Amino acid sequence: MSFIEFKDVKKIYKMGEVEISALDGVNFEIEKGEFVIIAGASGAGKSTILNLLGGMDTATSGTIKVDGELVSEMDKRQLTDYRRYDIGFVFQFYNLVQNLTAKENVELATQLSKNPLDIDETIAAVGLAERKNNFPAQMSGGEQQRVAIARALAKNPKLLLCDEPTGALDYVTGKAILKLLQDTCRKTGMTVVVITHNLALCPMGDKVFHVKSGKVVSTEINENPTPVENIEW
Amino acid sequence: MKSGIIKDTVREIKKTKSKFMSIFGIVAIGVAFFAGLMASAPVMRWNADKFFDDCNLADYRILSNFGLTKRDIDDIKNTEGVEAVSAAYEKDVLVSVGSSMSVMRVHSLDLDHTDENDPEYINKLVLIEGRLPQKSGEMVVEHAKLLENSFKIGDKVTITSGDGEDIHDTFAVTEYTVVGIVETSYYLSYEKGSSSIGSGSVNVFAYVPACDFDMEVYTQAFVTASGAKDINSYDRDYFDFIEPLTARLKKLGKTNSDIRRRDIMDEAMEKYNDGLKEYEDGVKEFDRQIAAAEKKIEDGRDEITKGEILLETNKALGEYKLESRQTQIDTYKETLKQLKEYYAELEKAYNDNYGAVIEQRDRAQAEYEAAKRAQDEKQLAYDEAKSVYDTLVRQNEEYYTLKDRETALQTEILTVNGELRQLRLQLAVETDEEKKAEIQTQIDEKTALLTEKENELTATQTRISDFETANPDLAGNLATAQSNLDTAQRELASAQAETEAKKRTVDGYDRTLETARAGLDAMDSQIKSVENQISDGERQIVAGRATLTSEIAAAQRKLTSAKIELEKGEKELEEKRAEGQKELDDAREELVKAKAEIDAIAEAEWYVLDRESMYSYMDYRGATERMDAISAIFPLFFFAVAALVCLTTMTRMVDEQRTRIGTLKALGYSAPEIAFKYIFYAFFASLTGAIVGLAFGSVAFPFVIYTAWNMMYNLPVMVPYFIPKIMVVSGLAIVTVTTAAAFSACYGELVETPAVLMRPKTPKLGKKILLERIKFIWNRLSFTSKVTARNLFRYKKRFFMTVIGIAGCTALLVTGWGIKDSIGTLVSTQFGDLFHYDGTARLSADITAADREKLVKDLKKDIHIDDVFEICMNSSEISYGGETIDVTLTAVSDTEEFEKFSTLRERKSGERLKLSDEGAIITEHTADMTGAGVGDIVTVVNPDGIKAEVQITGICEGYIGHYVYMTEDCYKDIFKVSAKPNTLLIAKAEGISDEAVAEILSNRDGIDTLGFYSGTINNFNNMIKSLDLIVIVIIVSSGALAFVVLFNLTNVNVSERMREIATLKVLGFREREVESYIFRENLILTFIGSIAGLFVGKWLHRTIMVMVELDTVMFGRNIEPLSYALSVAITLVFALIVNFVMKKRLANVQMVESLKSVE
Repeated sequence: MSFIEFKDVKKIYKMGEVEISALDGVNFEIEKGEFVIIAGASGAGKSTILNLLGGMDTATSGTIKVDGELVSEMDKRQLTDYRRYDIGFVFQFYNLVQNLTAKENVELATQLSKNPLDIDETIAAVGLAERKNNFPAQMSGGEQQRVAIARALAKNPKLLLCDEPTGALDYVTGKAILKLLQDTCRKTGMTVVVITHNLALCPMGDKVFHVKSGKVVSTEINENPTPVENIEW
Repeated sequence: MKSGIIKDTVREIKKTKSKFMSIFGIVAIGVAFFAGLMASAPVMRWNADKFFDDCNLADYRILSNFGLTKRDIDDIKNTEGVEAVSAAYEKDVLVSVGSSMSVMRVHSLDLDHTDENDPEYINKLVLIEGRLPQKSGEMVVEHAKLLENSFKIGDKVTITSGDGEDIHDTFAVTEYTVVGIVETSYYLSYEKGSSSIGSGSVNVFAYVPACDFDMEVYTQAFVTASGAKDINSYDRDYFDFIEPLTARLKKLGKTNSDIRRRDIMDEAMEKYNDGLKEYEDGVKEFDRQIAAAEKKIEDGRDEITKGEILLETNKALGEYKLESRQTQIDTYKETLKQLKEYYAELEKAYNDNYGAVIEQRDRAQAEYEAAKRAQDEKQLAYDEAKSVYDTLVRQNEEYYTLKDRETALQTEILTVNGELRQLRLQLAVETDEEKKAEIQTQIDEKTALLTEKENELTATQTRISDFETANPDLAGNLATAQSNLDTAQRELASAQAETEAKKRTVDGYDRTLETARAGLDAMDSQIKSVENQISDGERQIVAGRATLTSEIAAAQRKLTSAKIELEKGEKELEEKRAEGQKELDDAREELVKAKAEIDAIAEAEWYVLDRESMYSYMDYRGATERMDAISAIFPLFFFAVAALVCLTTMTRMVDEQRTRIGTLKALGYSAPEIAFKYIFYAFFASLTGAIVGLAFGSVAFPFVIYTAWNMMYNLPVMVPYFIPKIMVVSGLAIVTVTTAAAFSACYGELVETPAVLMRPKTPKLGKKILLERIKFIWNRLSFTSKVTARNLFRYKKRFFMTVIGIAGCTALLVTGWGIKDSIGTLVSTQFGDLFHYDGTARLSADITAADREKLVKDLKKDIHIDDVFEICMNSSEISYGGETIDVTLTAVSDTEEFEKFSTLRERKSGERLKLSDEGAIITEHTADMTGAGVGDIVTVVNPDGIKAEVQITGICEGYIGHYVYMTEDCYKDIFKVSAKPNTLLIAKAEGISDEAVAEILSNRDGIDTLGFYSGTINNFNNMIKSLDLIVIVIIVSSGALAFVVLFNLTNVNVSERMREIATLKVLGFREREVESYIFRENLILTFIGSIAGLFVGKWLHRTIMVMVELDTVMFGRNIEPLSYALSVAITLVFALIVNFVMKKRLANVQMVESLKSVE
């Protein structure tokens, strides 16, 4: 059994009389420790997948299993716990609490976790040991995203979900962030799912799902994923 | 205007309904409260003035201490600017209502001017029930809203004097029937001012026809000014308008009163001089009488002394007399003894010497007796012879008698025979038959007679013969007897002579003896007489002694009673002296008073009193001023909070829309076009809010407040009155503030270039807060607490906005509750902690000291009454530094005892104050109002009008009324007149009703009026109920404001942190954790705000309390801890409610929000 299973997952939004089908029967499987890229154009449904996988939303039908647990059947409370203990989330716009220092932002997450990682080590791991007492507003975008990643990692989640982690970053910084994610996956065996519209990133994933019109149209499996350093876009 | 913009604006409003409504709400509440409260006092004044105009209330009340004459009235009427004049009488009297006596102010009603449209019908009465008086003896009385014992139509009312003067001096009629119940603008409230009689305040007013008064002059004149009704008399304009008329009336008063004053002065002076003369005469008379009485006593004393001496003398004399008598008796006794001895001697001599004589005499006696016997024998013999002789003589005579008779008869027979023959011849001759018969008869008769004579002759002859036979020798016998008799006679004579001789011998002896005997008898009688004299003397001494004793006793009794009399006289003199002295003292006091009166007259004049001297006008003005005071700070504060919140909200809103502004700007919209949306939004929300608030507030608040105050006043139902100035100013102010806030926020954004605007606003730098530097606290804080703490201090603007807003609301609540506390506890403090008595009884002016003492003694014994205390209590005035206020002046005799009835203590320290003879203690409010402090010299006036200065020695706690306390000695010292107790303080026994005590007291003579504090407490409670209602309005409004402010601030807070909330949710924060993360800040801000509000509230409360304070009532300065707690609690409860409502919004925050780009 795979670590993550999506079986015939559908998501239909009702806007008054109109029904909009965001996902139309999505199927995929992800193994533990894989670095997965979900790619697609805007509106293809990749964010919806992320929402469902991250426990932020519930599917209209179909089953979602994560580490043997049936996420699609969870109620609100269970979903909260699921997010709390199993998921680490990296946002496009970092979503740091402005009023907390880097370290405190990380702390914010570790307080939720049952077995958090050491905060200082985690921050050091993302290369911000020197700046851990700075407030987000005093940091660059990349640095903020590193803090965000540290925040997600420190929780010691089963799954790291990243929503366009480089979307708001420049090329170099973006690359650095991606490297951090990839290294983390390799070093700690953490399952990482990255959502992006940037197809150039595809070669770096162990698995790549292409999403289009609410469906996974193709699945690529790279036996030897390209390191980030070698990818150009 | 581009349709897109308009559409956007409309949609914006629809979308942000809660924000729109909260601005709308805050503005509505703020404006309603502000405009409503601000308008309340003017509306009250306007309505009152309307009522005054409707009732044709006098603009002036003109008084003079000599009253007003008809001439005065005419002069007033002719004064330029006077519309109408109504001359009136007024007098305070006592009436019994239920079980107690009340003070009634009786006014005159001019029956000629009771037409509604008559301008001379001044101070029109408003009939509630019944009708106006139409004839003498009818009365209308006050419609007493608050009085328990009121009058009903048909009640009979008897008025009595309360000042000791004869009621008939003032009234022609003293019994009235109630025909109507009225209200009047002249008396707006149950407080009708003070009275010089009874309990000191007017309990009820009444109107009776003017003709029922019997007074020489009018007591007052009511005057209306032409054209004054057009102006609100509560405006300054009114007084400017009437100023010239006031001056004219005053001038008239000066002229007219000068003339009258002179007359009165002369009269009073004359009276005073008479009084003085009387007093002086009294003094002389007193001295004279006392001297006379003393002299009398002296005389009495002399008399007694004399009496005593006389008594002694008499006693001695009596004794002496008795003694001399005794001596005399003793002499007699001696004489008697001698006499007796002599007598015995004599007797012996007699017995010795006369024995022989007696023997001889006895022998002579015997001889005499023998002779006597012989004589007696001779006598017998004689008698015998005599008898024989006598018998013979008689027989002889008898014989010759018979012989004579025989001869006589024989003669007669011859005669008759001759006649018979004669007759027989006649018969024979006689022819006449008749005569024949007659002769025949005669013959028959003569024949009969003849027969008879013959018979008798025969008988006589027989007897003669018998006799001769019996006594043959009569003549011889007779001669013998004659000789026998002569012999016997001779013998008898010799015997008699012998007896005679013997008799003479005896008599000779007897005479000798008798002479000797007579000597003895004389001696004996002499002894007897001496003995009699002795016994008489002794009897006399006994009687004399008895007489003497009784006489002395009587004299002593007389002396004793004279002494008692003297003592009595002396006592009487003392009493008379004391009495006379007292009378003189009284008279002197009267004179002092009279002098003071005259002095007062000398200063007197007309009193032209405008409405500012009219009790009800001023009373209501006081109420409106209190209302003004409340609305001076309160609504402004309220308004400021509302405006502040609107400003915050609008600023936040514009801030949130930063990107959209940038977009529009980038699209090429001009700045005004972009700004339009926000300005319109703000303008529309605040304008609609203001309109709704004004519409509601301008009517509702004044109505509630007017009605609340009207619990004390009898104004008609409120007529809405709008004050455009307040409405426009308040509406405009809030709309301007809100719109300007929107504009300035927009302006701040619009000056930026689109590019800058498109980018998220540079987040504010996170900063270390002060608390972080205190490591040991900071490190101990939980992580979320740290976040909260940092958040609190990071957004300083939000912090202060929230804190100020909440503090404002809490302050308003604290003030509201505080007003309630200050007023509410005052009654219980005043009548529980300070006054320990339940009521007062005013004593009659003419009660004597003895009656008073008895009354007090009796009452103390009564089981219904715990204790009573007599005190001198009068309405008076105190002046210091130009301020004069009415006070109750009390003079206390027994300060120790007084402490049981009244606690004099310092308010803050609670320290007991002691009355001393050096000065007076005044109540705190009195001190505050006059500005007098301990050690200052104030001027007080006693009821006789005497002014005196006294030093303040203490200031005591006291809330209701103004009091000046002093000792009787101090009173006497300063006024030179003694304080006479005229009031009883009464403490009921436990569980006894007022009525029971009232019944006992009203059955006693010497009590004029009775008042219980339960009535005052009730009245006061009613009065403060009106303030209470206002407080409730304030509390409710503040609560509403607090709620809206909190809702708005939380709303802003949440929408501002939408992203953060979503992120936290994604991070796996549970709902409760998210709520606490957000609301903890809110609660802390609320808490800080309310704590700050407590201090602001305390200040606000104090400020308002001082302004609201009544003249006669000092409100407490205290706020109960409970009120602070309640205010904080209410604010926090509202915060919790708001949080509860906002919870839903938090739950609805979509996690997807976190994925969105920063707008």
